[in-house]
Amino acid sequence: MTALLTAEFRKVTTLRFWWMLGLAPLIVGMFSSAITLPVMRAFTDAFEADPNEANLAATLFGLAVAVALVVLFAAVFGAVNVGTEFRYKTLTTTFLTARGRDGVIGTKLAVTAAFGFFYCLVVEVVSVALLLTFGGDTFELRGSLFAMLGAALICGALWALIGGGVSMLTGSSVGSCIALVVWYTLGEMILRSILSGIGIGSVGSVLPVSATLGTVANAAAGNEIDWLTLWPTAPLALLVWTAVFVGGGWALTRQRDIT
Amino acid sequence: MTTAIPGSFAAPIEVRGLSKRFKNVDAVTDLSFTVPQGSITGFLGPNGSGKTTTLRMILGLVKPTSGASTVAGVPIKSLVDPARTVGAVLDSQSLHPNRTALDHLKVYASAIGVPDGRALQVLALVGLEDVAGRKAGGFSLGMRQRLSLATALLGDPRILILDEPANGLDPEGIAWLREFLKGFAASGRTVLISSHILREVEQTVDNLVIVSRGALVYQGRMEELRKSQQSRLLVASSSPPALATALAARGIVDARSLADGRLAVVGASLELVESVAADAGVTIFGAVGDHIDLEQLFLSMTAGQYVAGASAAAPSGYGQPPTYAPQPGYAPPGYAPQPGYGPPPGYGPQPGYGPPPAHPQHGPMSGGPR
Repeated sequence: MTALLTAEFRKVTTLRFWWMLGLAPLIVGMFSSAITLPVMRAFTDAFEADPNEANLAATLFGLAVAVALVVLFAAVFGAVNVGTEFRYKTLTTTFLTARGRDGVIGTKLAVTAAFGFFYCLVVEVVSVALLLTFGGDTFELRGSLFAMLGAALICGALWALIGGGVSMLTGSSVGSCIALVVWYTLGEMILRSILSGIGIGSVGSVLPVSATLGTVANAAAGNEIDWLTLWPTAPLALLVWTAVFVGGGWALTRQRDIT
Repeated sequence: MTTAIPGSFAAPIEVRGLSKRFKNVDAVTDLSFTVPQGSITGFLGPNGSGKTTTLRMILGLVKPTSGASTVAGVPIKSLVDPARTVGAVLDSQSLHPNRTALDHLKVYASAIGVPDGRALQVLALVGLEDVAGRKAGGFSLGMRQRLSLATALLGDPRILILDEPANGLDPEGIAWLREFLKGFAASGRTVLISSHILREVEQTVDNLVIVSRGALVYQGRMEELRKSQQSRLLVASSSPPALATALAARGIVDARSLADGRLAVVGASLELVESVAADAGVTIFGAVGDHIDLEQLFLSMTAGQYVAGASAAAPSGYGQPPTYAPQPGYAPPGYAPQPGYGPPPGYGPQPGYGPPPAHPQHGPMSGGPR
């Protein structure tokens, strides 16, 4: 198993896409902070408040954007990492050099989840460091923030698995990436609108993106934002979605003809 | 689970009644053959004859519709260390274009559990050590083939399966591959190599499995096929059936009617045929000798795949080849062509290769390429 884990880890690190996908949300998050800061400064100047409040608000906004993006990019990473084996037909060699398909699929997904977790961790560490630097005395590290950041880490890993599962189901990295990005940014929102329109809007709250928002935002004790999915429904729904995609993809790939 | 036992008597590769149906297409039909230990077996057939599908079924990549295959005596899924038992080059495209040759090999070296140094060894073995740091996307087809071969050799396997490895290789590369495979087999290891061109592997292989439209048409040693390159007589006569019957009565059983009405007779001199014809009251209008080389033989064996209905010789449609289809229960213990395996078309069963037919064959035959 260690041999397969090493092989799967090397498959990622011998290419460049992993750090490109990881860097993107980090940069976007930082830019979001930089763009938001002048707006916040205008508010603090107008109300003669502490300028540090503006820094804090801007950095928090940047953190939110970065976390939302990094979860999406974790999913894209999962789709690329798994789908590239289909795209470049390296799955043939991968299966020929391992005993049984389950070991390969399992280790590939484990490495995929680990990278999703790692992406989130990096973004969070950098964002918190920025908050501590620019937030001044108005920012304090509280348990509620850590709870939300911890939930986001789990979401990153789960979405990486969802991405991998989608690629295993479709056998296409490009198609999977497009489907994930469209769903994450627009698709679910549109579907929820439709569901609300036909009177079953409550179903929408257990859809993957909604469940993710609820999992992160309502992770802190005392946070019960009821227009988002509440705990424990939110994390359970996300776990079920992950199990569905991973289970379906795994079952298909273990018996798929590799032609 | 069982692993390959060094020195065991199990054939390196055995295929039994393998069939594969893709939707409405029968890619492989009841295919059985054995690859003997220490041989270089050529797996020949035209494009689309089911070679790649068969190789992928042997390697566990494609699930057969029916039948089974073993590698080193066990199903490949039961091999504890498959990459150390069998190496395969199936598709030179199975490389990530943005990964360097050395990184590619290191990835699979770690999967197999061999040290990274082995990656450099196999790169040197296939002559790619100078481009170890270059990305595979910039490689020529020949270089990709070599890198794929290097990957197959990482585990130092006892069996090599190569699917059309000469594709993209220059003459020098083909010569190198030939010598490499001969050396590999000389060490007691086994090679199964597919090709759609007999000439490409003629000088390399010592054993042949020929398929057409997914079914076996010939299995045997290369030298047996060469021996079957006998000249035949194409005889125009007043009554080909009567002449064939008379010849059969004299023990000359390999006589077949050609589409043009002539009789193709193997194993008899012109004088003998004239004598038999005179005794049978058949008039001979003319006779010419005909010699078919190996390539013609191969083409005639696999004829019909693309020329269905084009001539009387070609079987209509895409059904099974009528003349050479193997018989159930065929299990070649050695190398010689087995009973039930039709010899090359136009060349009746050779003495000792099977029971002689009760009647001379009058069915249409290919008569070689036209």
